[in-house]
Amino acid sequence: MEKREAEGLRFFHVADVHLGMEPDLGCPWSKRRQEEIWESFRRLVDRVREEKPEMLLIAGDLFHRQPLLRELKELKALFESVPDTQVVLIAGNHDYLKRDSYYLSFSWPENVTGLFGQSCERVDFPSYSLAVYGCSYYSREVTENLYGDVHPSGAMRYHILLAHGGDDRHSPWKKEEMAAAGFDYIACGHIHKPEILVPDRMAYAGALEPTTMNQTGEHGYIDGVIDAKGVRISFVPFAVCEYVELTLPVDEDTTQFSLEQDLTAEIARRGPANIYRVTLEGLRSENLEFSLKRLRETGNVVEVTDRTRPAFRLEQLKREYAGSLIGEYVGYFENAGSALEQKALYYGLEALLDARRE
Amino acid sequence: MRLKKLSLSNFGRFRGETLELKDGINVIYGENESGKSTIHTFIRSMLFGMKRGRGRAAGNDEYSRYEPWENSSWYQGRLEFSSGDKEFRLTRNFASREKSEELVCLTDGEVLSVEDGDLSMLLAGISENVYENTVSVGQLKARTGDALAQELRNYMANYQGSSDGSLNVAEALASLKKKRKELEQEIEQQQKTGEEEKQQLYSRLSYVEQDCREAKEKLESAEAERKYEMFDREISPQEVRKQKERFLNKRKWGVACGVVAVFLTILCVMQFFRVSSLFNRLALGAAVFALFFIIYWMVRHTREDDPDIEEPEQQKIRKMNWNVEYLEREVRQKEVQYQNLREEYEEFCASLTIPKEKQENVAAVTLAMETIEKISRQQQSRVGIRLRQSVSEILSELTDGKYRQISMDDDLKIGLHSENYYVPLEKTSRGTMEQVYFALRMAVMDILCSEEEMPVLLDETFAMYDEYRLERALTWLAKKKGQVVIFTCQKREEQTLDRLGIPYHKVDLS
Repeated sequence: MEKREAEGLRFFHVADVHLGMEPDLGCPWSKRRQEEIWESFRRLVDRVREEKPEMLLIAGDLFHRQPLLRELKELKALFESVPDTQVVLIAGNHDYLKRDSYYLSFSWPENVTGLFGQSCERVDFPSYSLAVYGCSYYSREVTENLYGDVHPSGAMRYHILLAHGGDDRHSPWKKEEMAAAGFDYIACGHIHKPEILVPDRMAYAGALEPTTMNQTGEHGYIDGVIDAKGVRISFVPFAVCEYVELTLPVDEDTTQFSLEQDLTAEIARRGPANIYRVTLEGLRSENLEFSLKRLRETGNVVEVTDRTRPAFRLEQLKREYAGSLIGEYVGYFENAGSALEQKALYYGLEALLDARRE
Repeated sequence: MRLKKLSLSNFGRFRGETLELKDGINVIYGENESGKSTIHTFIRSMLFGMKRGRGRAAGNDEYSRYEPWENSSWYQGRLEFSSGDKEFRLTRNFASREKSEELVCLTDGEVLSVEDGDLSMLLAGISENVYENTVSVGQLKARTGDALAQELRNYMANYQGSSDGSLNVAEALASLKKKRKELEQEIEQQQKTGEEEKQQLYSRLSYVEQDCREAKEKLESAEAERKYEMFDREISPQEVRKQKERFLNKRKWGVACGVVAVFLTILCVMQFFRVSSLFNRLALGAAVFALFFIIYWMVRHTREDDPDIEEPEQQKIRKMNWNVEYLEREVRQKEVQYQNLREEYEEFCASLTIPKEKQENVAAVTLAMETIEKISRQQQSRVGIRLRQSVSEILSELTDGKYRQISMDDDLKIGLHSENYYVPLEKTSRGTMEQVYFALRMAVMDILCSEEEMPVLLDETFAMYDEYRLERALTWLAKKKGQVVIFTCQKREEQTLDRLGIPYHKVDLS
């Protein structure tokens, strides 16, 4: 025990796993992703078994909704497979504690501690001289800061706070005030994008797997160490899937077919397990409109945005058609700032040029 | 601007061809295929450059059509013209690799730059589009009467509306309207798909709800059954005991009565048979005692049976308890499932909004339509009144006062007014329509090319005119226009000019 204290301890900080969620509802991969989220959490437990961190900290929203009993049984079996690691979890805004939540009545294995109080409580792990603090959500939204009054206390040497929220409707907090409360580390959950708020002091682990298409970039968990020298954390990419923003350049020679080929090649290159948000950019040939639906059906494409503009030579058109309606029309939108006006310019110009009589 | 000399150094079918043009009326006579339209294109290309198609269209564009038949890298021409009181020479090489242009003022030797807009200044800002729709006049393209009237009507509407004769504003607006409809349908389709998904989710929700309700009902009936059973157990044992006691008491009394009766009977029998030995009396007494004992034992025994009867009842209740607990767990689980699904359904409903982008597209099309209409109206009020006046004047001269006014109503119906009556355009002859067309072009030219008088290029314009109308038109041109170039494959223009005594310059291409 003395030895451990001298060595400090290692922890995994994970949050927002959202077990049970079906991402991108209505898309063909929705069910597959639901499975992948579970699978990722199982893999994480495998990783815990291999690397044997002292603590596994789960900062809320482990489940997307109210956990079912059989789901908790599954979880129990998983946690029982890593008896040497202490698991601490809290309930977040998604799996908040309803009156009859199974979280409360479930008989957890010995190495699992749920901090299910409505206000912050402390649990001590004397063998590591560690105190973990935290509380749980009892409703979907909590508009006051749950962590305003909590400070390290007791005889333990290290102090970690599990905190969920941080936006206007979920325990709004100021990270500076939080970081100044005296904790060695604050393990945050709720925001799905991994972010270190205060270096080696306070961080969002982000979702283990991304759950909606605006969560682009890497996802995973935080691997940290606390010892006499302080806290050191590093982000570990772990998700099997990433939402990738893909910009396809378009020019006047681009056709629907060539675009579909480009897209297929890009997806093959960047990894077919990922899900893509595609943006088309550039000047497309006049009178050509791309079928975005066909692009979406290429597979693994959640969204296609067409930002291309028809390749009108505006200056030339203005000169050539000076004094006529087309010329004046181009002139009218010349200083068009908004996207709406830009679009109106192109729609109108297309129609006007089509309506020229030869 | 006056055109002086065209030198087609190497252009289309021409090589080293030079045409001189004079002030006043020029007649360029040539049979079909003699190159009249090549000259047309040449003049326009000299003034505005060669139109090149882009991408796939390039194979069939004007550039390729007039590419010299021989020696195509040398693809050039020269045009001498006067503007104001100065003379200019414009040389262009059209060959795509050696494209160049040179503009020199012959009067003072100054070298000007086409690129910097000097030529455009000499043209007083007349754009290629305006040139094509005013300066050079062909025939109406349509052949049938109705289509002809329609073409003219569009022309008039657009001149009036946009000062740009080649543009069909109504068609542009119609195509935008179609576009908007398509976009709206796309949104509708998306909403429909969303609605279907919502329905699916809803039916799943109802299924789980039903399941949940059934589980609850099962639980309720199990609870009721257990309660009934427990009620039986709680109340009934006392009742049963009392009843049993009562029954036992009754039986005791019954047995006692029986025993007394039997005893008395035996006494009577003994009295009857005069049994008096002591042995017999003892034996009888023992028998009576044994009888008593048996009865007592039977009564006791029935009493001891009671706990044995209660045992299976308790088992049943225990089973019922298990069942109720199981069902309670089931209901709770299903309740959670139902609540989860309900949340999902509600969230899905909230997420069912039309993407902003698509709505913006619809708004953009609407804005385009409104803007086109606005500009069109502005131009109409700017140009319309003057145009109608001007057309009316010219038409009146051409028809020698037969038609004095031209009008156009809100439905774009053009009508001609004589002194006494009104004729809708489509009721007039092809010749009259051609005259209206000519008058329109001339009027538009007056309006749009007011700063610099341009030559008038007439390509087979008078083919449909009768002798009298041809005379009127040529007289009007000789009087009103500085330079007129008539392209024709007939001799009648020359003959008419000769007859009227109007001087002209003839160029024979054949």
